[in-house]
Amino acid sequence: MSTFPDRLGLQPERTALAWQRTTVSVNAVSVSLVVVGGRLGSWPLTVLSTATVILVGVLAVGARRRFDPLRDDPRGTSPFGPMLRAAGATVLTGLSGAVTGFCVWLS
Amino acid sequence: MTDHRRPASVYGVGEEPDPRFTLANERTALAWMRTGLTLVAGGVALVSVSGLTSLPRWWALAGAVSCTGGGLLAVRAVAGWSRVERALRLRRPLPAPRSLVPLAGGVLALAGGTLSLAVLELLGT
Repeated sequence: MSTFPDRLGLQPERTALAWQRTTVSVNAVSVSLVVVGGRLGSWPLTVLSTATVILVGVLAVGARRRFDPLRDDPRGTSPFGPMLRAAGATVLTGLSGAVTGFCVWLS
Repeated sequence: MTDHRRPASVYGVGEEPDPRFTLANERTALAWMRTGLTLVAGGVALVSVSGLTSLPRWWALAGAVSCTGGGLLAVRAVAGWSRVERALRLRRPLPAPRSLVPLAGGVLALAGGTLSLAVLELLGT
């Protein structure tokens, strides 16, 4: 077991907190989109943003767990999968907002 | 030790860098993603204000543009992480942050557009 302070220092903790901030941000935006979709009566927006909220829930579960094995193997696990899910949630949210915005603009 | 991490285009080349640098790269990518989320949040606010009030529909267009920009930044975040991680593993100079200038320009344009809309709205009333 590594001792404190080790080579990694507080980097894993900082990175885990960055993931938590990101998942909270995605959740906040997609939940607000669910509300906006409901108020505007736009079912595509509501469905897409609800799917995003579920995706973010999956993301949040694994966000911190990745950093526990770092003390045994500093290589850790790849962040590519969680990063793709976070980017996918952001793109879904942005797409929902953009489509709704264009529809409102053209109405 | 066989590396099963993905993507292979990143982890299949070079040597393992200092884990502090790779974690810093990860945090930078997340910062880009949160920047994109902020743009999406601002766009959603503009769209909802335009759709739920009597404001002109041009506000919704500005919101749609902002949402699109936010989505693109999220894609950029993942692509940028991949490029920098490869450069770290291959001991090459890190790529320049090419998206900073377009981001600043886009935010300025969006701010100018919404300011113009607000001034027009005030003058109209």
